[in-house]
Amino acid sequence: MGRIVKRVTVTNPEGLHARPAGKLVKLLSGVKSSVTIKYKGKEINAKSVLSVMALGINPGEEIEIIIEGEDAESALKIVEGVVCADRN
Amino acid sequence: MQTEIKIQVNASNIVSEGYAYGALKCIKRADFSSDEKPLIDLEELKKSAKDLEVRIKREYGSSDVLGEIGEVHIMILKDPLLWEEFEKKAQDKGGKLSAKDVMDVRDYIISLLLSSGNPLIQERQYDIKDLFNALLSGAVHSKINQGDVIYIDELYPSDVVAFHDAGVGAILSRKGSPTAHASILTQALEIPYIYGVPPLDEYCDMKVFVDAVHGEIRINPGDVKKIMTIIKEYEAEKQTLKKYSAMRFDNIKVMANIGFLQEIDVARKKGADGIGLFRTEFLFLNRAQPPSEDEQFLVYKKVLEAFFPDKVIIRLLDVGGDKFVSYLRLPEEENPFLGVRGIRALMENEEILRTQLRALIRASEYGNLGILIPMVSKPKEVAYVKKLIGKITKTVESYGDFTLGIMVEVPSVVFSIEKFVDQIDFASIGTNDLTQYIFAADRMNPDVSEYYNDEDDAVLTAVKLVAEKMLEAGKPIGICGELAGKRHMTKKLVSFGISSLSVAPAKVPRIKKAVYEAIK
Repeated sequence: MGRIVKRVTVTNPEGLHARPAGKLVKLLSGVKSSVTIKYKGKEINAKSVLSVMALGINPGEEIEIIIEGEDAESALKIVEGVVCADRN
Repeated sequence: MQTEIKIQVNASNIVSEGYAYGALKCIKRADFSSDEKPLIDLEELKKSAKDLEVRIKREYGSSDVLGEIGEVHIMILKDPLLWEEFEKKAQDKGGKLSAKDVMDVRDYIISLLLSSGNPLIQERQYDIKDLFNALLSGAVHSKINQGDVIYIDELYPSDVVAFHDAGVGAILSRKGSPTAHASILTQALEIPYIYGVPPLDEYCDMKVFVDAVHGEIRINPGDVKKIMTIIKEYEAEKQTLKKYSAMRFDNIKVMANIGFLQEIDVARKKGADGIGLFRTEFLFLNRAQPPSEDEQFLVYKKVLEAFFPDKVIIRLLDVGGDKFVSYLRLPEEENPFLGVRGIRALMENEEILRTQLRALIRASEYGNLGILIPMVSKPKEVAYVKKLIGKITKTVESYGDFTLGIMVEVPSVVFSIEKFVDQIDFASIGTNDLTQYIFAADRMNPDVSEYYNDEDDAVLTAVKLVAEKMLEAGKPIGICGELAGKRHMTKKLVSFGISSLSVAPAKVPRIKKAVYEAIK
């Protein structure tokens, strides 16, 4: 069991708005680990597209990612791929 | 014979272009808010969701835009948060829910999306409403015939799919937005669609002609023969348009006006030779704090990269007292359109202007940027921006080449264009506002609509005058108002020597065709 806590800056030009939020959840559907996003004092399940959208995270903002589980490393890669993608 | 009623609609509310003639079908949705229906078992609801998933997969397919939206809907149907809420409700009633409980969950989810503060996310409320509607009723629309014109309050994605299958001629809705999923679908499925139309309830089942090219709805139109000819010619032309998209001309560019990142793809697909007007208001409206420099930088970089090496002209924030933006200092005015707006508002809010300029200048490395100043009326405003730019370029780490231009929309600029020419690299004529100011007639006020005419000689003379002075100095002059998208005016504008026509993305192929015909 791995646990990763990492702060990252959102550089996706669409932030984590509707389209990227959908992409994130789609890519995480095969992941076993739990993935939590912490933002402005709120903690949400990153596998829930409704929860991710509700945060309305804008590009340039900082979030904390907390991942727990056997495939934590690959889950982090997925999250960073979407959150830090500056082109998509 | 009944009398014909003409209803003008704002051309910028046209989401998907085209014409249609048919019976006006008024669609009313079922109301689930009453608590009279029998309770639903949670397990049954789960099964309904599964069935709905299968139906979405079948009806939306897996390709293109349709498939993508279907995917989002399935994702929402499976969302853990949604089922947690259902379970909470069901716990109190021994595993059962009332229709009202289900609607309460719907409204809770919608309230979460609305609280995000982001308009694109807030628009997903229509997807939620769509799914809950289907979950509870399972019914799609009946009694729709091929060729009908649909009139509906709010349009949902599954409506568009169903209407497309039924072969409807056009869709009109009371509410809506150009970036909602339903809107994107009407474009993908090429169904003419206008949102924000006035109430049409009194005309249900009457014959209607929808002109989703210029923006007009005609109830009980008189000349049906002429209408049929218009529709036929339009459809025939559509078939030949593709080849024009890819054309490029030596002396004139056909560019796109866009206001959201989501429009980049369609502008490229339609063959735009760059962006003639990128409105930045979407970044600033509907939020409590202004966008950060980094947020803006990422957005500008993306659009610049998407069109490199073509030009992307980004307009500085253009708001005035008619828009409420909490973090901007804007006076309350009797007459916002003659008040503190555009560059005047930015000069009153210098920190906002400075941040936007910094983000633009940093992004200039990533493409071919033109910075456009809105609502200029005096040369000193250009000098002010230039001075600010000079200071910023000294403090940013690196930047690329970029150009600076002005919107020509206030008559004072037309009559003193000589004073501006040496200060700027390019200019873009905003014919909508220019026409309003020349005729002192509000475009949105039906009582003075006869005065507003952007094809009038008074406007064309202004355009010609500005074009001459700019071309003498060897500087590009573009047009980015509705006039640029009027095909019957293209020849005249080309004869003025206009360097670029910037139009809604969907109009690019037709204007390219008109340019081709004008210069061949």
